Amino acid sequence: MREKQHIILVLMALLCFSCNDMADVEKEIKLPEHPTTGKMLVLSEGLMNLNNSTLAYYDFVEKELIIDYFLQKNGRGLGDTANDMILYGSKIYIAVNVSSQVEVIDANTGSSVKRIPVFDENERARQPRYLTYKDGKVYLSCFDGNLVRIDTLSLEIDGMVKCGRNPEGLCIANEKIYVANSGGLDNPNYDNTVSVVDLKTFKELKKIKVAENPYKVFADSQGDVYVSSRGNYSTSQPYRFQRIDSYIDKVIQDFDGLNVLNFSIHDDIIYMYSYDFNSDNNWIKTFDCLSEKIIAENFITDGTKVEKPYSVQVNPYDGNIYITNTSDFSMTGDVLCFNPDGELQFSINDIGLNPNKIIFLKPVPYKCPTATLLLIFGLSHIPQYAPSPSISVPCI
Amino acid sequence: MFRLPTFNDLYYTQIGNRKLKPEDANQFNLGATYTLTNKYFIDFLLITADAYHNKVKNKIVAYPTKNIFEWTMINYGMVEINGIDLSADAIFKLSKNTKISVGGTHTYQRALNKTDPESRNYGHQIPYTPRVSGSGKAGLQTAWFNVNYTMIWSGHRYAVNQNFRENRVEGFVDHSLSLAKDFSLKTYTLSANAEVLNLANKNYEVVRYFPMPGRAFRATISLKF
Repeated sequence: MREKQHIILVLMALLCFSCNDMADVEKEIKLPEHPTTGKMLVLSEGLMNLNNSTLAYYDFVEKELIIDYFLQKNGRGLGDTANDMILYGSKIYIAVNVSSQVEVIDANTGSSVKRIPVFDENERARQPRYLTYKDGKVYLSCFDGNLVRIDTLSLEIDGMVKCGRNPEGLCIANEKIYVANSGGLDNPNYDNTVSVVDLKTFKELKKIKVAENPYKVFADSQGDVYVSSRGNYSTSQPYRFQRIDSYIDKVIQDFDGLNVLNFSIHDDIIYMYSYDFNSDNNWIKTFDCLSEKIIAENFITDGTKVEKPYSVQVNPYDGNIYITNTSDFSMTGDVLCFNPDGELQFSINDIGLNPNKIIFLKPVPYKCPTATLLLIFGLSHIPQYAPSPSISVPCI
Repeated sequence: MFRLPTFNDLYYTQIGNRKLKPEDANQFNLGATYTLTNKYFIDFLLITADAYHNKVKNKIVAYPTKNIFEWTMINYGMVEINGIDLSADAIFKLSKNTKISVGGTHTYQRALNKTDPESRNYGHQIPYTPRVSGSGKAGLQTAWFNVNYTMIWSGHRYAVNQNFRENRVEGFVDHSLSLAKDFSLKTYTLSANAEVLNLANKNYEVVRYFPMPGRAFRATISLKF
């Protein structure tokens, strides 16, 4: 009998040890000491088919960080693989690739204004990828081969042009839209063209032959369109960087040995990086669009290491360069802020899973009594709403 | 113990990962078993308890990166698993033809990623592995009919590498009940079986965003010659 009691005691002890003691790990996100102005929204794509894209909000002045801003404001998630977002007027447009939606949110409040489904007549997902805007229209590249036009007043799709295979990045120069046709879904049989679409007629004018698997295109102030192409991601066919002249629509320069994966342009300076998926190596450089020469071979000057850069952007309100980093493609990544001299100012870690785009919102004029006066003055008149799509920054 | 990646692990469409390395494990196991037969009204009793400590290098983990149909295999550099398995089975005899059987299992498992102390998931439980899980069953066998109840349950799990709240997949319990009766006819036996699956009608998720079907009924009739 005593033996039995022993067994029961041992079993009880084991059961006690085996309770569910697995608690959620709390993120410990250190907020930057470094003060700056304005706010930023950070889009994180999450993981494909895991439906976990997020939008994070950070107020630099109040030091308020909301990791799941979209979820908090709208009571639902952003969807699957949010790939790109742009700010136009007072609205933010987010291309959600796998969910095949364009989420339109109010830049001031974060609330969804409209969710535009992007499907073809057979209910197949067009898979939105990247966005740009001009003259009251938002342009959207879709993996199904189309360039889709959205009217910003009706928030409806009002036009579509067939481009090449699996379009990725797009930009506007000289009243024309340049769309990089990657053919990435047909790996290894990639596309190697950039479609040129006329803004007015919304018809494809021509296809310019570029390097294999073009990815991002951005234009400078002189009408040059820069193209980064990803090749087949191996040493046999490395990334390439080319320049198109939008007046003659031809590739006029091939930057040999400049293996750019991703870049952005601000004030005719290109912030570019390379990341090698095989060796895990990367570099970040700056490039002058006017002299067509590298400014800094190593943008980062203080020895800071960025593990896996995922995007690079400039904050127009503080002039600093913000680089997003994915620590591993399946774990939360960071935002790192560098000054123009390439010195780390601050970083915010674990902001989201694969952060890929930041939108900077204009700082609020701090304690400005005239603003109140203006408001009172404005109210004494009948306030007239005038859409001003050319202003790309909302007043918050 | 050493496990080579299988053909499926390596090459199965969408799942395979040609860069997979073989899995290499050190396993320590300590167990105790207690059995009892034909004592008092206890027909049979079996209690087992096992504690184990496994260190797995390059653990091959199946992981639904795409969707429920397209899992992928990845190597985890180093996974440390400490676990306890408990099980009990008993059959009680009430009369000559009436028996009650009960049983259950309980598993406690700390399967932690111990690859790189600098990594952001160091010490986190690996995806889709609950800390606790188990099952239970009970049955009544009579001369006229049999009733069986089964239950499986799992604690919460995490859908991706980090044990953050947003990656949490809630735990679940699934109950099923069945009633069976045999009709002996001249040369053959007719068995009728009625089941209620997922009795609680909860659309729980085994894989995130793929809710399981709710309550279902199933009736089977079989003939034995």
